[in-house]
Amino acid sequence: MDTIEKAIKQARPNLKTVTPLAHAILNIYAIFNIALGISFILAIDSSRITAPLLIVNEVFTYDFWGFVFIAIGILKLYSIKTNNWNLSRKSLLVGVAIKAAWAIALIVRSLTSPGTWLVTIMWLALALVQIVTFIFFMPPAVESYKQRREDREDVI
Amino acid sequence: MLSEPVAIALISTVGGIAIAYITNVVAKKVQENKAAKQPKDRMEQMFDGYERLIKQMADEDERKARIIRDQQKEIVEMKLKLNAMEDNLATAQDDLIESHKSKQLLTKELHKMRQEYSHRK
Repeated sequence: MDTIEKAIKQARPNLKTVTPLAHAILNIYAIFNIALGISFILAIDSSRITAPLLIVNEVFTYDFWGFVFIAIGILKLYSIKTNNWNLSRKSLLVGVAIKAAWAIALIVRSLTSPGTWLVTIMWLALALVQIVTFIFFMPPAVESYKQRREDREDVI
Repeated sequence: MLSEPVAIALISTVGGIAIAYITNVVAKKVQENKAAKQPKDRMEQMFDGYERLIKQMADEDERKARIIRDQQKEIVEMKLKLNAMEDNLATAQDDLIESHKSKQLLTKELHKMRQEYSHRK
């Protein structure tokens, strides 16, 4: 990495200064993901669940999803701590993919067994907030100085 | 065939990836629109200024080169015209000299013929 690239990276302001709302949402989602992950591992009694959602074999168990959610939560906290906007964006996008997958599974379940729409709607709201945050509130990840220089040379 | 949980898991995974992809594309569009509306930073403005100056100088150079080419063409045409006029002038002068000589010759002949005629009388 060039010295000027390092300087640009360090010169980037704190996410909280640029967009406090996105910073707050990112923090809340990080904590929520970790809490959800821990709940999947510790607080779910698989024997009481009659219609598992994304649990298709012995690998994709609730423990597996628990670790996935914890990992995403930790990734979000790490990106906030290092002020790495690009990592924050990526962690949000991965979260969108997983939340959307779960939302689709929940919708399918609600269609087949009515009476579970409350959880589905709440989950959809969470996914929607994450999508809106990613689209409208997250600042763009700054391109590398090298890329910007190449773009400019193309123009000239 | 696939069992129901596997089918749901597959549909969910594909759907989740598709939604994430669409979200990413929409986010990029939104960022591009925002960037187009916001003023550029000072370094970008400076680079743009340089680019504009270079373009302006290139346009000016092109204009000057075009004027030079036109004037060179005009000079060549004028040279050709001048040469043609010089040739015409030289021809006219030659004709004038020839005419002068012929006139002198005819005058001499006239004198001679008059003298001969007066002697016969």
